[in-house]
Amino acid sequence: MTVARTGARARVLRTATVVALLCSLAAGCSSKESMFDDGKVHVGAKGDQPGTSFEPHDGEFNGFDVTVARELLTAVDVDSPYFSGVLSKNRAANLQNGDLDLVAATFSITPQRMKPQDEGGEGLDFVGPYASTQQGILVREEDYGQYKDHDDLDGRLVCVWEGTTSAQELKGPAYDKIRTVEEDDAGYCIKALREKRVDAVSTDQLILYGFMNVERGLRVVPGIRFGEPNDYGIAMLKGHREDCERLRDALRTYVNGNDWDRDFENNLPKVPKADRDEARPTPEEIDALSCRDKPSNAAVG
Amino acid sequence: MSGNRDTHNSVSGGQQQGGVTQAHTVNNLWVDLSKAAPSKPGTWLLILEVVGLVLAALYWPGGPLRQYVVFGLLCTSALVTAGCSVVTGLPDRGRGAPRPQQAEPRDAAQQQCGEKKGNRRKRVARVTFPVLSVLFSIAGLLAFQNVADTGEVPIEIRIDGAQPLNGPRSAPLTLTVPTPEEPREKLRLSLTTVDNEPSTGTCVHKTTAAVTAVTAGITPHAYYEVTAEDTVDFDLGGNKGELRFTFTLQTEANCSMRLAKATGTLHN
Repeated sequence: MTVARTGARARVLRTATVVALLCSLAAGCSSKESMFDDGKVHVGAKGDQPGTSFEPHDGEFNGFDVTVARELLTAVDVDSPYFSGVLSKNRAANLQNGDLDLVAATFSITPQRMKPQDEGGEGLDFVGPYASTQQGILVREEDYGQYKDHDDLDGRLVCVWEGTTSAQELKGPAYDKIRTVEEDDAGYCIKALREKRVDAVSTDQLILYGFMNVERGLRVVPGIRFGEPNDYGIAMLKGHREDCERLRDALRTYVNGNDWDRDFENNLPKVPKADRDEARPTPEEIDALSCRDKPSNAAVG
Repeated sequence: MSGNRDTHNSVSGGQQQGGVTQAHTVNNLWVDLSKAAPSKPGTWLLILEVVGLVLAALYWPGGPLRQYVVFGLLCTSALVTAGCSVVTGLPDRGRGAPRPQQAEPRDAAQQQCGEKKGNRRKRVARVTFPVLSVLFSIAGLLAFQNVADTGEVPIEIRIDGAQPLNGPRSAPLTLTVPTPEEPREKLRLSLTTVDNEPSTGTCVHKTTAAVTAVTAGITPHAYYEVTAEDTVDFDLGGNKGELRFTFTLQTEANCSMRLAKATGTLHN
């Protein structure tokens, strides 16, 4: 009897093992159809840019980028995305190595970033633009009157941070009279400006207006702008085109209603009306830059 | 033709076996070919067609390969039929060999009848293949001539002017199409405008250009909404010499663009 019972137990064990193996195989083989399926989406945001992408307390993020990301993810039934801090220079790398699913961190859409990796690009898809801005400068209030146009920056020391289009732009031959210093991120540049170690901070005007809102004694010079307009997009690694298009459709809806204006005003109240109008994307721009390997042609006719 | 008879005997006689027999057969086939070649029309056709192909390659007009599809098909058909003509022109192998002695008289009659039918078929083939080959060759020649006269001809375009093109008030570029060796009625221009610096923001989706003909007689005179990657077609109005166009960028302030590529195709 003992032998018979042992045999039956062994059979049950064997069957259970096979069932468990089959289940685990099935789970392993079933490809993750969408990054939104399990509701766990990891979003990278900046921690030191008040107004756009900011982490006032550990794990608590706010700003226009964060608001837009939350709104779009809610539209695709992801109610509680996980936000974590990301440095500008690490945005693409963190997506490429799988640490993050999305990046919403004043990330400019560029042809180089959109291009597939096998063509020498960074292999990212963008949902955007959700805002557009141009590069400008932030100076100390007491020096504000000294800056009227680009020539006033000749010989001055301007702080930029690594991995940004702003840093790239000032390397161009048109600005060879401007001296630049590169810091790790925005916070270091603001600190350096306050401590008078640099004359100005240069990055996108929207970011600078965000600082101006919380940093007393610093001011954006509206008349000084550089380079091509920067269009912000929410980035993801290529290979999720369907998810990308769902977010793009959600962005179109978001921009067409009043929500965009409300959220922009709440997060970036210091941005002048004209700049806000320029920042607002059109549906054509969203179509031209979202979920593509290269920017599409202008809509004509 | 005694060599031929030897061949038949050696094969049908069954004196040798396996690989040796096959090797011998191949050798004899080559002997047959080389002996028959000068006198057989199929062989001459084949030689002429190969010479024709070499000449076509020497005088190749260029342009996209798709316009040579008909020419290619006709050449292949001509070569295949010429090849068939050579094969059918070879002496009989095996069929003319002595039959086994023990065949019944009725079988022999059937065999004779079959041989007659076979000979008739062969005579027809000997005439049909060369004729077809000649017809395909002539058609191929005409198709080649047609491509040479009217087919698409790629042409280099020179871009003059300062680049990058900054903002909406940049000076126009001049596009010069040199005098073509083989003139055509129309010109297709393919233009690619890109961001001057791909690692900064993009203006591709905010950029168009006006392409205006400077050379008189070209229609339309201008295209005003040429997008960053676009193709436009001009009727040259009989112009056979150098052609000039201007390329004027229309983009937003602070956008820095570059006309990266301009390719032209002349066609009818």
